[in-house]
Amino acid sequence: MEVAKGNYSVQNEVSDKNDDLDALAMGLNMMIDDLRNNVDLKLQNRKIRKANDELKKAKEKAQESDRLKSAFLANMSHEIRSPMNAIMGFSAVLKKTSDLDEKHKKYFTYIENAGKQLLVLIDDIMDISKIESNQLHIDKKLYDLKDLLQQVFEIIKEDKKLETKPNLRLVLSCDINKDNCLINTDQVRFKQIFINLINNAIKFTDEGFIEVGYSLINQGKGYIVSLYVKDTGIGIPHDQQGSIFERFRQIHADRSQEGTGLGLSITKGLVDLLGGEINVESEPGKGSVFYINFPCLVKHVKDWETENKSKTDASLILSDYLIYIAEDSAISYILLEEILNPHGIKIKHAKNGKELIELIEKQEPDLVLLDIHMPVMDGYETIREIRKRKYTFPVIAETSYAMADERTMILNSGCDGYIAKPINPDELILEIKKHLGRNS
Amino acid sequence: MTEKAEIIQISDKEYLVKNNTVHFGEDNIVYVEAIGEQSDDVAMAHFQLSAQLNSKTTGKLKYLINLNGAGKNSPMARKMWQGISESDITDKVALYGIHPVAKVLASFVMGMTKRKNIRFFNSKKEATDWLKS
Repeated sequence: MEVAKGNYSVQNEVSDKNDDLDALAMGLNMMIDDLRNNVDLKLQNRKIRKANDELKKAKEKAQESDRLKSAFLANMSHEIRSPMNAIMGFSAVLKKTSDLDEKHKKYFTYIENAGKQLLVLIDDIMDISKIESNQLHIDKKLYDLKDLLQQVFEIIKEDKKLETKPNLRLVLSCDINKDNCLINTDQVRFKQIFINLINNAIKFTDEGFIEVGYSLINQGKGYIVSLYVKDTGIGIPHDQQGSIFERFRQIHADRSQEGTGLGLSITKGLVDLLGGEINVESEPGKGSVFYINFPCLVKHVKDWETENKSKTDASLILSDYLIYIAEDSAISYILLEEILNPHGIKIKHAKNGKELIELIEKQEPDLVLLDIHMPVMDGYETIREIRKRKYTFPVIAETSYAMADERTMILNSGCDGYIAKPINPDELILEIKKHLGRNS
Repeated sequence: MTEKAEIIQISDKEYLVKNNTVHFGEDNIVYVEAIGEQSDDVAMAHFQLSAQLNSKTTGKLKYLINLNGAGKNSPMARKMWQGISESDITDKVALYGIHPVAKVLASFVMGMTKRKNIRFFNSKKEATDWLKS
């Protein structure tokens, strides 16, 4: 009776006689034990199922929050970069007009520099958010290490920060004819690491030199390239060297320097993502050396270079070419017109993908500048439609979503090139020449 | 919860697992005299002891289990004995007892497995003969 009510703690008495009645009682007791065991098991299973359901819901919530964060980051990037495109683009265009006096040119330079600073800040915040949420897409390919470092030097020289420090030299210390080494990396992020480190060195070094170089370490199973950025700057106090890669850490906060305190934290995050390691040695008052180690391949790169490098024909005359611009923003279109008109390029404007397709059907252009974020038919749909109709002319995407994963998506969708807003006029012309030169 | 059962070696070939005595004799026969309730921990200790004994011999183990003094088997203990009988290191398991309670205990253990290497006998002699056959 008790068992029927669900009380499985009851047991029948078993005597020492070991007779049939005891056998029956023993059998019943073991059956009661089995029933209790089954009930316990069902209870456990119910608890596990409940815990699993809760975990599933928590996982879905976390994934949704991840998606929202990504969307938020992409929107933030777009919303901030769109107006910045107009501010910086028109400043660059106006600065080039001949009727400006020196004072006004200087004012435009201030606007440009402040815009650049703001963009660096936006990029830093985007990067650290993506690194911390594991959302930074890494696109690894083989590159010649010396080429990458030379490109970094070009960017640093163009930035003109060094010009404000006449007693400071930037030295690239690697033998062009020796130590050919290929590195499997994401070139954008690799350059970002060294640009960050060199800019950091420029910030804290008034005179002397900043040296960038590398040495190869044969580990038997393969090679490690040990890169370094060495400066003769103010150095880092010993007790603070362990925390310099932490977020918002500014060692010389008293020194009037720009920056968010995110640079070295981003640099370390990027080095980790690229499979390397970074550490620092520093002597206050004498300088610092940042060491960055990456695995690498050592071989002659001549053949590989021939296959992989694209040539840009800077002397190409653009006035013979017809370019269609698909751009919904009137301001962005006017800016593009201002950049392209001085080169005599013939331009036609479409306000969305659908209008662009109609234009193409009437006359095939030499190249298309395609905005990704457009109403009616967006850039992705448009490029799919263009390639579906077997048109092979080059298409350069221009977008405010300057996120690395979007660049990959754009290139995978059928576009030949990519340029991020705010558009740098010189970069745009170079990119156009590169693609037109290849097709001619 | 039952008290944790330990394996105590009392001589070269004899062990104590709670109230059960174990004798590891010739022909790889492991004689177990089961006394009192056979809890989860007792069964677990027998499981561990079987591994120890196996390491001392090249052949498979043959279990001879006296159920005359045995009490109730817990559900988990029965599963453990199922595991011992189905293990690769076990050849046969012979259970024996003269009274109905022993037969009921044996039937609950044997009901756990479809293997033919576990059987019940009324006497030790019959059980031993089957093990040696």
